[in-house]
Amino acid sequence: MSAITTGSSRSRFALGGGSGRLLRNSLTAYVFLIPTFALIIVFSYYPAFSALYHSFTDWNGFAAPRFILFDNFEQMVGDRIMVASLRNMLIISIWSLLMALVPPLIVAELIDSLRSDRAQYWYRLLFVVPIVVPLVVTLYVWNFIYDPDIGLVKSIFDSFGWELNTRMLGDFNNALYFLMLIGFPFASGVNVLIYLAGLQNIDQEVRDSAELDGATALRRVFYIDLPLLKGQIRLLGILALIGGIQGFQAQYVLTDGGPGYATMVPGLWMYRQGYNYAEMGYASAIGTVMFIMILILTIFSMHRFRSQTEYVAE
Amino acid sequence: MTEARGLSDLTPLTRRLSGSVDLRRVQWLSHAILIVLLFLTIVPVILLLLFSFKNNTQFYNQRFELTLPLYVDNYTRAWNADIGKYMLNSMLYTVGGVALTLVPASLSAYVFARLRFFGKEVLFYMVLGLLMIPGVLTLIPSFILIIDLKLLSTRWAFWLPYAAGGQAFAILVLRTSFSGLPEDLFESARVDGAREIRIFWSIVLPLSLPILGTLALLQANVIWNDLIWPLTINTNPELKPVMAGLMIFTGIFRTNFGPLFAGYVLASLPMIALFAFTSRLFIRGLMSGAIRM
Repeated sequence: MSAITTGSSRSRFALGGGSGRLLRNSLTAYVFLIPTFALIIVFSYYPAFSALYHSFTDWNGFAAPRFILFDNFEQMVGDRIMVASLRNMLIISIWSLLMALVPPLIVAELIDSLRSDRAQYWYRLLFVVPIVVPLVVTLYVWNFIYDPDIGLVKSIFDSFGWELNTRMLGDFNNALYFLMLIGFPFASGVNVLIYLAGLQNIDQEVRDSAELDGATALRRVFYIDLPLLKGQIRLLGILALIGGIQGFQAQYVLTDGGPGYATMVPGLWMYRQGYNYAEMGYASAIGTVMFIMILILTIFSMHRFRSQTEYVAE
Repeated sequence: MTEARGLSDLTPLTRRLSGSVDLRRVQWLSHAILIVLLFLTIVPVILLLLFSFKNNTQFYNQRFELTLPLYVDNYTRAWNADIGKYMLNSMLYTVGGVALTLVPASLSAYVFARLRFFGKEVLFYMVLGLLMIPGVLTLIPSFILIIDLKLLSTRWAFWLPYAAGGQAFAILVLRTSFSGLPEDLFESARVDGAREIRIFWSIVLPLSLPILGTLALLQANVIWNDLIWPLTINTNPELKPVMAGLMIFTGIFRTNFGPLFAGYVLASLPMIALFAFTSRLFIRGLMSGAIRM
């Protein structure tokens, strides 16, 4: 960890050579960057700008697009389904942010508290195994768990003699919440390991002496662990928000946005507009709005949660 | 880079001290909570296995109970639906896609981590910005691009877009990892007149195998389980990857989930084997502390 510095990352630059070296470095750097940039310009940036351009057009996907300025965006303001889906997206995003950050942290702290290295190894391995199960399979399985007639939830209620008053994913008022519970208990393996790595990189003496001084484990988590895990929290948080804003696989496989528009989200609405109604212009406009939301949130969280320790960028 | 575990090993005494009498009870409690959470996390996997051994009657009448004898026939039927050929395709896409992701990404990460050059910030934000583009936004334009490039229903339509899609995350993580290597190594190599490509090849890469392995596995998992892209850009049944192959299969067995789930179990075996054989490397890479921002 010798290359970690605090504060300005520019100090090392002064030690470098003169402008001759800078020029030579630049040439080397550009050569190294060619493969990446060739790939991303053709297969990422070109399609993205194409979508951006088409958000100002009336386009069915194949015939020549007709330029209509901001009509798509105006249409969006009056689109009741779009407004409902934005509300759902907001709820889902906040939830997925919390679930990406909190349960994995609890699991990581629990694993870290074990003294046996062997036990730690096995928990790390077993928590990460479920990631090989394809998402679509997980969704099918949850669909059977939720089946209102012969599902697992129903069987459990029956065996206790309780009345189940909801049709879960088929219930207009509750479908969204049942959809959000898919993935319970949210102890995602990769996030657990990323946290655990952060915890084990913290100087153990600092953590231990805090506990010897009488701080409870909970206080240690809040005052020592969390501030030093900022880098991990920021990355996991941004990825969770991006996933929460874009994601629609669960809706696509299980509810199709229904019942009614109870679980509709912008991602699925965009997909429907583009593929089912051949409204690619309008679909692109929805995508553009999603992109802008992600951009604003990312910039906001980068500034708000700037990490204290940064690697030297040289 | 100092191994993460090294620090905790330095202070066994303090650890021991703080872990005395009253933490023993917590040890017990930690195990109890972890086992409950682990069980709940693994429930979908258990159910997948359970469903794959049921015939239709069992599936509709005793869905969540173990029904004996196991209905192994599901696996034969799944295997007979060309799963083997599809898995071979998936392997080709996965291996090629991972290689084409990591070679460019590690070269780029190296210069972002270790060199000072004109336009570095702008170029880095160009890479980082890719994380923010919604995948579904670019689906149709990408599809049209594949047609225009005459790549429709070819293997390149899998490899190149997967490689492009993997760049941002891989570069972000590798840059953090490469930045953590001690500067002395680089200085002495440069004094000896080593060129950057040599430093990259003989110093940086050998020291970064765990994180490269971890990224390879994560990317392999993404490519292996992808569904939307193969269904969009491939119409040739000979080139189908396994997840798309199973999709067609849902048409045939619409009300017959046994063979479908058996197919998913078979399709997951290569990834499970890969994780099992490389779990130590995978966990070491994830635990190296490079995955942060």
